Amino acid sequence: MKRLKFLLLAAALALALNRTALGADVGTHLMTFDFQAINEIEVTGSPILTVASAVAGEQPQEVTDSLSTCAITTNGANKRITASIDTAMPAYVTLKVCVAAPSGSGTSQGCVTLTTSASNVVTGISHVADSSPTITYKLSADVQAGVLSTDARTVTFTLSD
Amino acid sequence: MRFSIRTFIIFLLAPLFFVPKTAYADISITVIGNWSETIDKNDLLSGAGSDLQSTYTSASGQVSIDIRGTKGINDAWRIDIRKVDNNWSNNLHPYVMRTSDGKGGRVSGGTSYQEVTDINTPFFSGSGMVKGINIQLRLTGASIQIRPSSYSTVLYYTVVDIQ
Repeated sequence: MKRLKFLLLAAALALALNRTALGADVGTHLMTFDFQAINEIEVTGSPILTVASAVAGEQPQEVTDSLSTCAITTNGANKRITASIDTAMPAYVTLKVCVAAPSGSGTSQGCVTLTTSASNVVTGISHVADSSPTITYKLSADVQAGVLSTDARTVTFTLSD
Repeated sequence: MRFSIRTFIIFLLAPLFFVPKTAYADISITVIGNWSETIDKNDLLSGAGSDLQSTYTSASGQVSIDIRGTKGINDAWRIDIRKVDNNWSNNLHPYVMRTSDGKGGRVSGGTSYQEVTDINTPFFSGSGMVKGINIQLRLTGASIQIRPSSYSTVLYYTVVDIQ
């Protein structure tokens, strides 16, 4: 008798399960989003720096310009900004650049002397979008540089791994 | 006598286990279309220094749904929806919205954006056979906080015969 009850229960269960299967069907589609690497940097400002004064008995005074900014967006991790100039500075003349770290990410390397080789100015930048980091340029010259005519340098900033 | 009852029940049940379900399925759903987007620097809100736009919306008829095999115009059904992630970010939120009634039977509900989660949730309902119900898709939550990769999820539309 117990076996009969079990069989009847199994029959009812099978019918119930099959009834559910009768009344449903499934369709699907795919959603795909390809997030590509974004590493964008844009610099504003064309500073003019003139070394023209000195305290008697000392080297000429360094001049500073802090009106430039850089805008950075990256969705990557541990990026860095490097800076370089297109041609070397004259002897006894030094051009430095100081770039502030974007808000909440990265470490400024302070004021870095610019050469024709790329130098790190900010490191450890991850997942950031900031248009406000300040760029400061500092120009200095020793008396040995003598009197120089106006010259120009192009500073290249690169956001990379 | 006991033997004959047991034999009878076994013979009764056997076909239910061995006949394919599709042979019985009287209501069916066909989903046509996929959606893919490439998100790159052109999607920045205002170039370098700005974030990505957070929301992306597909064409209004990105996906089309057909319901077939109903037993007449009054045979009611409901569409439930859920997602199953392949590679996905918890920051990303997919939404669906019905943008047309299609042709044939009756359709109601689902005309505002509804987030698709991992749990089956009623989307819209209707009755009778309907062809060409258009669905628009939306993604929110995109930002530069999401690391570069290809993210995909599969949306499951289940039609349930409710009458």
